[in-house]
Amino acid sequence: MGILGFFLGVLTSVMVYWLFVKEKNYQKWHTCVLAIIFIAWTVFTVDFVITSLLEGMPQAAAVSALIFGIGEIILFVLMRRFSKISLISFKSETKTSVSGK
Amino acid sequence: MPDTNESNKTTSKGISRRNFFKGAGLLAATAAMAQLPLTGNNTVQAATANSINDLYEISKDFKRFDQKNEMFCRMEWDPKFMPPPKPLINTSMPGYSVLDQAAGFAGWTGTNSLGTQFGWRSGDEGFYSWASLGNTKPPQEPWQASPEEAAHVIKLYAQDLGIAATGITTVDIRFFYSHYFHRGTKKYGEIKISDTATKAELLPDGTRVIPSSMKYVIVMLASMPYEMMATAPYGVSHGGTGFGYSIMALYAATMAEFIRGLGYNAIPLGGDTALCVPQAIAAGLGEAGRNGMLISKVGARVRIFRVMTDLPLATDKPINLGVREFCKSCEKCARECPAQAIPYGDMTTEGPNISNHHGIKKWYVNAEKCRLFWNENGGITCIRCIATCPYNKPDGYWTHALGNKIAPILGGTLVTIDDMMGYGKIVETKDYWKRPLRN
Repeated sequence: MGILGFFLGVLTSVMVYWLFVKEKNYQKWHTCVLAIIFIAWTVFTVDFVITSLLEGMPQAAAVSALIFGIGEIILFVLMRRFSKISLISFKSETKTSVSGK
Repeated sequence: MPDTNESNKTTSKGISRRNFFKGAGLLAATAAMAQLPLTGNNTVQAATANSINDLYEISKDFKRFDQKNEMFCRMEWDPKFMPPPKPLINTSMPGYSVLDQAAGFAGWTGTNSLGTQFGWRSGDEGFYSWASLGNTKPPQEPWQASPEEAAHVIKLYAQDLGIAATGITTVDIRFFYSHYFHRGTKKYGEIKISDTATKAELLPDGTRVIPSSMKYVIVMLASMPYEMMATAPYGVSHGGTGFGYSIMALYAATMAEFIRGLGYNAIPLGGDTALCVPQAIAAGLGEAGRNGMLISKVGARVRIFRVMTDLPLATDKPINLGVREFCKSCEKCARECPAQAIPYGDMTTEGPNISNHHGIKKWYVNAEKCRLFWNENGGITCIRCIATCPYNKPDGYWTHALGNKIAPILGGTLVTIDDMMGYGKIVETKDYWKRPLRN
């Protein structure tokens, strides 16, 4: 459980860095709120799936991955729609340079 | 260049359509979140009530229950159950092997040995002795503390012993048995709370007297092992139930001895003398579920035991966890009960037979059907209703604690998810014995 806590801490840090430091989602209130929900949802989903496996309930892990995964996809799509985030950062840079032409 | 984007058009008040929808979305989300604490069964903290009467409809002509009518006692005197049904199981059947049954019956060692008989007789035996067991000596002067400080000390001591939860209430005579019935000796007599008595005693006419000065009831919960319970109604689960009874006898005796050592009187109670569930509700430990059991703030997998004392203690208030709201839409225990003894539908004020304590609006379990199934099950206690309850989850996972708190809001949806996830399924004992060790 200690390792899980550490892993979730790392996951949270990475997501905060990605969504707030790199993508600067703190500049608009709605992307800020969305980013916080996205982080919390992701951490909860990962935690639920792993703890279900730890307690010997693989079926619960699979179902929770499915149920919370749908929410995860919806939140990701919303994040992309409102903040134009990208998983690979150079993509947005390339687009900027093209449009700069 | 003018902005031709449709979504960026502004209204006459200068708000863009996009911003309007963003604001509306946020408002809707806030309203939905704000509703949670207003449902009366909020997710943050349980609502409290001043007394059990605020939470439960109790009729004015509500009478004290006679222990003789309790289902286990009826098996001793009621011709309807004589001879009792024969077991329908044998050791060649899956779940009832020699290994399973040995594990099941061994779990009762602590409570069935040393004359304790877990209080299912009439109390005042073994660990439940009303007199000191001699482990602590009363001081020359009783220990002095404020009721708040004393309650804190009691709860802290209980917590460190491993007791799952502790609450404190005062004597409510309505929930004391009117009469006790000893299943071993068949002795039968009145139970009185007396203003004149100075000590708890058995009078020559068979009346049990408890002084009214012993007005504080410390209600405690002992957890039962999750994995063993999951095998219900098979042999191994019997060991889980038995071990809950065993450990609670030891806990009750230890707490009583602790209080005696402080210079006060203490009576440890198992399932005897007074009804467990109402006292646990009054002590703020939980609510009565559809299965007739206590669904506590630490889950459904608990056994209740009490210690009455004259040590002045600060009391707790009943809580509304939203359990009854959830049970209304759940009905999983009713569906899973092998004896079909748990009712579907709404709460009532009358039960199906004399083993029910009529006059409280709740769900009444048909104890006759339940108990007869135990006989057919070879004397193995069935706790399928606890094992399958969505409030019954392994300890130590905050995700389950959160699930329990939002259960009243999710209602039937949670049951569907619970089923999909595979919780509450019977664990076959062959699988139970193959599990890897934790350490």
